[in-house]
Amino acid sequence: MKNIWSKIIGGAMFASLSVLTLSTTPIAADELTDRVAAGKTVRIGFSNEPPWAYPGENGEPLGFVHVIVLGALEKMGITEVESVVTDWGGLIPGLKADRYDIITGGMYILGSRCENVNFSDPFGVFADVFVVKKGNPKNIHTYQDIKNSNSVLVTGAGYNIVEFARNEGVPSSNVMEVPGPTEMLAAFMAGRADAIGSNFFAASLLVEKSNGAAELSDPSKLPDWALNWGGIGFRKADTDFLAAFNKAMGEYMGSDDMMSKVAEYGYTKDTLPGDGQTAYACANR
Amino acid sequence: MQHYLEYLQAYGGRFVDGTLVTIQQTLLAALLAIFVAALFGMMRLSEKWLIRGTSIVYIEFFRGTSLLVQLYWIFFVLPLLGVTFDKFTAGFVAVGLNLGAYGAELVRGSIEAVPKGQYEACHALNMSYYKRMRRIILPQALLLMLPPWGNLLIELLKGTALVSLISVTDLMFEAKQINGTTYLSAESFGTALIIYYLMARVVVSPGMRAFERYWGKKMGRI
Repeated sequence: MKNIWSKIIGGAMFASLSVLTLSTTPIAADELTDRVAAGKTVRIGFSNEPPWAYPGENGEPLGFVHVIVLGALEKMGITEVESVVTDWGGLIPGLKADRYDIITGGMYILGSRCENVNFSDPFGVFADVFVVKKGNPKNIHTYQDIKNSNSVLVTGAGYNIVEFARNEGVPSSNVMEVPGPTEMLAAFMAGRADAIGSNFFAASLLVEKSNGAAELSDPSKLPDWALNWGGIGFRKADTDFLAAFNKAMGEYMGSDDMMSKVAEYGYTKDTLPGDGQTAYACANR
Repeated sequence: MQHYLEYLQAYGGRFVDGTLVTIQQTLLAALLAIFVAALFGMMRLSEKWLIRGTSIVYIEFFRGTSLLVQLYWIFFVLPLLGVTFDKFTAGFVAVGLNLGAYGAELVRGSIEAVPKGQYEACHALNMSYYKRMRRIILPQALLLMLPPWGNLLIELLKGTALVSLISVTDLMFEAKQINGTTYLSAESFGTALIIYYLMARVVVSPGMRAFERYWGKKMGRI
């Protein structure tokens, strides 16, 4: 009886060890095209970032990024999508872990992100701005102002603002990272932060929600590199699908159908990316 | 108050959906935790070092690392190694395995707390290991471990709130989404707070107390 048991357990452990070592090779992500050809839905991953991309009452994808993405997918013949809502910081890890197929959160194309994911052609050009107290008592318009006035800046975890602030010399202890826009506003209103760093669209919404307690800084005072291009995130392996998507998006961008649907979110002709290139953004941001 | 009632009317449905998912997660995680605790708790008491060692490794690893880190690991890292659980499964598996490790120590502790006289009596009556465990030791151990298990199950209920971070649409997830659109933090999180409290106070606690009383009567201790 004793010998049998130790043999069984020994055998089980050997078997599980070999299975583990044999299977610890990085999983080659399925070509997204194969997935679509097999009839499965395209899963879109996004966060709660109005007016860019956010879930409706039943989880349906809303926001101008989704107008563009769903329009482009429709041109590719894809009408069924599945929404996966997660927090901003988990978007890229989730894509790499095959939890969804494309990131439609509305991410800026940054060099550090380009190392992990591929981006589509830009879907827009966007300015960052700060939300400050009414009257802007600390006169905050740039990252240098924040550093010099020793103010606390609150922004989202994983936002470009964190990197930009660090590059500009704002001490890490003065950069507060919270999960998303609601927490950013709550921290600001509670006096835990002097300024919110965000993009122009989201910041305008936050000012509205503040009931007159806040205003926007002047975005034109920020240097050129504070202008960013937004892109859709794809796994590095899904190159074929990305090429097809870029083609479809190129046809859809700027069309009357698109411009009329994005108007309600504040997206105008000025937001169109123009000659912006993904490769340029990867190299210069 | 009027404002809160309107809020409940508008969003009550979503809170109910979230609560149902939380209940499902809690039940599945609890079943897994109980199974794991019983298995590894008893393995911990084995005389064979291999069995005991495996159980010790398991318990120390899952107790010693944070539940949130384990959850993220199962959700984000395992797929890169070829093992993909869907998010709902990843959720209750992480919570169950983590709290099962705590439970294993409870099981071990209460088995060891059964008076040694019981073992001697079994030996005198020539009972085999299995008969001894099944008829004498484990029933008494069960009575001893029920109060701390009540504690653990409430911890488990609250631990399931973390699965909202891997997009499982439980109560916490719905509360955060509603907060994200309405910015009414007090109402959103307040309602979630109340629901968690009610689940712990009205379902788990009385349930465990009732089972303690029943088992105590069975053992002749009450």
